[in-house]
Amino acid sequence: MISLKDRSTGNLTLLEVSGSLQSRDNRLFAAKLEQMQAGGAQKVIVSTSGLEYINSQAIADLMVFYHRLHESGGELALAGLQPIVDKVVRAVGLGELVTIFATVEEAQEAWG
Amino acid sequence: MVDDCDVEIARLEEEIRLLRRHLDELGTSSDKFLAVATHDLRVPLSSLKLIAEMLAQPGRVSLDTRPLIDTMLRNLETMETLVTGVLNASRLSHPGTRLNLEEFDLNQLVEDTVAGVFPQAIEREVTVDAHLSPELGRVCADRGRVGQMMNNLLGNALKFTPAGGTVVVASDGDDDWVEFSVGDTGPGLTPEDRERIFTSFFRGSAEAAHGDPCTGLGLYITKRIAEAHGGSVGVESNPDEGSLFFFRIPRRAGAGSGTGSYRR
Repeated sequence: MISLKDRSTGNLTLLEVSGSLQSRDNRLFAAKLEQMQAGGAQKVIVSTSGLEYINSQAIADLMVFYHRLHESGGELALAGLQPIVDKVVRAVGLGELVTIFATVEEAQEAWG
Repeated sequence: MVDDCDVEIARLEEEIRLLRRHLDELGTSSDKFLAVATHDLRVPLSSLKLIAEMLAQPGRVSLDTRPLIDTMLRNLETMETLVTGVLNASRLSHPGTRLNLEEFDLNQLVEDTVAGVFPQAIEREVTVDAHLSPELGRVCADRGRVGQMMNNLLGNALKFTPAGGTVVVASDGDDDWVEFSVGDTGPGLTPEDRERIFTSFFRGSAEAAHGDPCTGLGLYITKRIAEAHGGSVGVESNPDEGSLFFFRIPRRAGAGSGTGSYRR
């Protein structure tokens, strides 16, 4: 099972995803992204330092989430990518769309 | 009476031995023929493809000719896949197939291979789950060939899994062996197909879900590569229940017998 924790400060929303994101978790993950979208999140940092794997459906969900945010003037960043997550993010071209930070602290400093 | 039987058995054994040698010789010459023929076909095929690609560029041909060029390109690509497959298979058929053995981090290769199929999986709306052992560690094997086996199994699973389906990749290992498996929610195999699925040019009765061309060589090549490493391949499948294909190779190529059972 994955763990999803989000918190907002001003217009910055941090979503911490940890565990291994497989098919059983896709609904939960997509619902969380939708919830953040509906809640008017603008600048979203997804922290993945505790994420061991992300499946292709969740990557597709993240891409849709990025496009929706972008259309409404928002931004998406990924922070603390583990090697396999980094590889899949870059393989599908998501790495060229979103900002990638080495750590959440670095992302918060740049966007805070 | 017993003596007569012994003589007859010895005669039959000799006959079988001669027949086996004859078959091996026939196999070797047909492999040699295939290797030469496919190698020689590749050069003109590549230049034809290059010309077709040039013609497919905008403004090169009239709009009504363009679909013909696209068809030509598609067919040339299918032919290239087939010729490359046959060449690979015939090269691997030689008893002393040479492997370029090197030490490398298997986990990295698994991650690269899995990440490499994500664009295709997303396009086809097939979910790729993975249960990868972080403890895979280093192996001594032919990196390119091991990657080819992984790509063959993954490519096959994506080929036969319909949109909305799932492909599950798993890797594991111990001190002596490493294992890689790909499960899918495709149509599965009939017992007859299962028997012959690793033989050359065999195409099962199931249709590819996304219209990809099938050469019937990918799984055969995978088997040959695994065996060249001293390993083995296998499949568990039933109609309408999906399939699980796997290979296992010794952590150090040539160190195992390849006859051990697959553990999961």
